[in-house]
Amino acid sequence: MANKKSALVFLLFSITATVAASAQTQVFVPGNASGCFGNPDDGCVPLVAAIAVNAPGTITVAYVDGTVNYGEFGVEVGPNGGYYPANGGQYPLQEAKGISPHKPIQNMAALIGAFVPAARVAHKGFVAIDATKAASRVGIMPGSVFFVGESRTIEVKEAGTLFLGVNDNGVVDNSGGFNLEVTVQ
Amino acid sequence: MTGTKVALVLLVFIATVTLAAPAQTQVFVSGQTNGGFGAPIDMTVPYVPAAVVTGPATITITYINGTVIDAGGVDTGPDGTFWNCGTAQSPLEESRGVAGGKISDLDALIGVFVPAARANHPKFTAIDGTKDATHVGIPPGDLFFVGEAKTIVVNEAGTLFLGINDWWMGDNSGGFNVELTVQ
Repeated sequence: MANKKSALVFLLFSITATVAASAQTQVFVPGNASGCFGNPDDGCVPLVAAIAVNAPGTITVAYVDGTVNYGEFGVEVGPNGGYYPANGGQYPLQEAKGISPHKPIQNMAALIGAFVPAARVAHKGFVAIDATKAASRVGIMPGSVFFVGESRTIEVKEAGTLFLGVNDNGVVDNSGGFNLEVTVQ
Repeated sequence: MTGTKVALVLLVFIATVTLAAPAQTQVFVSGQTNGGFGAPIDMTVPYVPAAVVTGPATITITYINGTVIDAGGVDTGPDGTFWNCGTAQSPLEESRGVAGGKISDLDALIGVFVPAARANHPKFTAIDGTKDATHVGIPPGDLFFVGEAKTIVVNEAGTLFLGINDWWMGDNSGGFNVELTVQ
């Protein structure tokens, strides 16, 4: 009987430890992964699925290495992005806020993210692109896009997938990308 | 002294009644008012400012009369009508992040409440904020169906805008007369 109790306690401990264990993965986000956000968008490259969680959790994104060239010869930016005159057009992080000020930005080609609930990701016809352009049956709402930069930790309250991309609209002339480490707890 | 007190109480009573009295207004929402929402769009007609509130309030929207006439023999009231969008996207679909297929609310009366900080921005226009068509616009996720009647409770100052759930407006005509009550 005592052995059965011990076995049960051990089993419960093992299960708890498994649930609490953190998962870690590395992903590469190419410099043209804009998710078709922004206007005008000249190339439609979906955001990268970085990690999926099946319950509430804490996701941390940490930059490892890599740079993005957004089409300006000799200009390379890290995950915090760089200065760009932006006299016209709308960038993904601006679309996220419903604004288009046509003023210089400091986060050109920065690393951005969007957490999408599992029900949406699992929907038939879901593509990890801007849902406001009739380009997919089911997409991502621009309001859910946020700045990541060098590192960011987010608390999610439900199952879903974290997608990552870059803050640029015209991406056909982009190159490079970011290597990242993503941890969930 | 008693007379003064009575007068004061009466004054306070009248002032309270005045403050508590609901404000009522009527607006016309043209059948071409798409707010630039949906895709593809052939034109952009800003939403109609229907009611402005200076703080938390209850806004009731009530249809009075009118219909929207559209292609394919559509002549509908504020609840809208069935339509197969194909691969197009209606404004209410855009608000949910989906597109295409069959809908039951084409040309329905729709609305959006915009907080004062955004609505009063000097470069704000009451159109879709995701299409690079205005410096400051409306995020599509805030749109909602109104239909024949709807009451919303708002927690801050702002403006209620009204429009039509259609994206292609060149073939639309008519519109809805609507009554707004703010309490």
